[in-house]
Amino acid sequence: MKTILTSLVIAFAIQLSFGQTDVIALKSHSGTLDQLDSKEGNFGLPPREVDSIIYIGQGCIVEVSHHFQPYYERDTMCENYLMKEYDYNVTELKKMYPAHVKFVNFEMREKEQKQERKRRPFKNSIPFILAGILVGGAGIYRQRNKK
Amino acid sequence: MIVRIIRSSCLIWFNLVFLILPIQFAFFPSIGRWLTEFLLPVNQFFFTNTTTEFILSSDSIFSYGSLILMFILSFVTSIIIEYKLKSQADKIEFWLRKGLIFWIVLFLLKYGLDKLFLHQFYTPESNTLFTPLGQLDKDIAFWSIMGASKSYNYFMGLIEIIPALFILFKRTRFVGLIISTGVLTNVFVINLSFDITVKILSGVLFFTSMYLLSEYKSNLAKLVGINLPEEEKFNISLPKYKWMKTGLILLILVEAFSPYVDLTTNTFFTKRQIAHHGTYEITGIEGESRLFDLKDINRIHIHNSGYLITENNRQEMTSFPIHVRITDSLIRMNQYLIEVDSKSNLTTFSWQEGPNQITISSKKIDLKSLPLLQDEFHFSLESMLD
Repeated sequence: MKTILTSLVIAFAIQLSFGQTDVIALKSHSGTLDQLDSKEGNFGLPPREVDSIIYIGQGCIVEVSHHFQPYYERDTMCENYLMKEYDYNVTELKKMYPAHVKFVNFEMREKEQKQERKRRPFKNSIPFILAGILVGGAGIYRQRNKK
Repeated sequence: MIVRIIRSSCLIWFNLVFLILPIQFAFFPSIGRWLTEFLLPVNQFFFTNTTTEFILSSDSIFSYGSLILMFILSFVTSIIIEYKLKSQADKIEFWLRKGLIFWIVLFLLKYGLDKLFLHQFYTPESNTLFTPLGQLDKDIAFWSIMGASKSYNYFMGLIEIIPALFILFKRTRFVGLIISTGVLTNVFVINLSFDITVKILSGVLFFTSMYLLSEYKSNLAKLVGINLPEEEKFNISLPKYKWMKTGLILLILVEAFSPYVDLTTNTFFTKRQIAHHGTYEITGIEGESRLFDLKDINRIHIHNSGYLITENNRQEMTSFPIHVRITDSLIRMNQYLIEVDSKSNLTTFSWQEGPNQITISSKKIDLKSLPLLQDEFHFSLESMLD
């Protein structure tokens, strides 16, 4: 549910803001009533627009939206499917958003990914280490039994 | 006494209803959204049909429930004022009246500017343009017809902005309220007749305007040649109140204009258009798709809100959410990437589904040439026949 909601938020953020009710918005794209999304309506007034996306670590982003520059609204989303789909790659993500949207702190994700890669060899070698211990243990046991 | 209680109940009720509407303001804090969360358990306790899904939508069961709850609260409060705070009753009523003036000016300005900047009634989307009129619901048909005429939008915008400015000042308030009552009656009746889901807000705005106008009984009577004695109204005239009024007017203007002004460039926001937006007449299809049935479709529409809509030979539309990359030619639909290649007015949509390669060849339709989107004006019948 959370994934659906967050993806809807992202999809909504990419869309262009027109003042319309949620029902009109739905009928405008020939949608069916089961697809009604209350986020698309603001009593016929234009909704807010996304200003920037900030990466805050561990797969989480903060979406900053505004109508009037000094006043911003922040929404935190974790493990968003679109972000994961493009592996938090700013170049790819920029293609999905309007040109004015800023992507902040995404270099942190790169650092996290590098650290993850460093940890991975150890993680991957665990079965080999275990197999080594087993083989070694079996060898020692055999040697002792020979004596 | 009963009249006083009813009058102050209405005053409190209208103010509360404006306050609890979950509208997302541009500059003002969206108090209605916080109150919506606070009211949800109370609402659900009394009205079991309330669903959490549409609490932010207008005209939901939640909204009607809140309307009833606020009326009960207003009635109880007005009785308390009448019996326990009688010495303060005039003062409270004065501020509540000012509250209603604030709300009506704010909404008239906001909706007026929304029409003036063509944000409310936008040019109909291509799929709507190709849907037979008889197949459209009344609300979307009305919305689309309104969006087809820019000049009428400008007129509607101005006719809402002018009374808002008149209501702001005491000397012109009466004229402003006469115009606003006329305009809001029309808006309310349109919303009821065309089944548009802003019935509660337009209704409250209409009744608020009527209520405020009813305070000018003697002026109204004069218009039809009857002389009524003028009622004495409680008034507060403090220097600090004047400052407060100026501050509030400025805040209303900031709230009303801010969605349309980009402070970084000091320009008005211009509408952006999604890549590949428009209608494509299909000329050829190669391959078979699991995404949608290709046998029947004769047109593809790309909707500005991120939808790919297929139209079949019976003019039935099916909509699919898409993500459009702004800087290149790709459309993402489910897990597939559709490549769009445009050469003059010939466009191909191609994608790979496992071993299957699908290619749709099409011709882009020039929507601006459609009769509904022509901004033509004819003084005479003869010029129309030319």
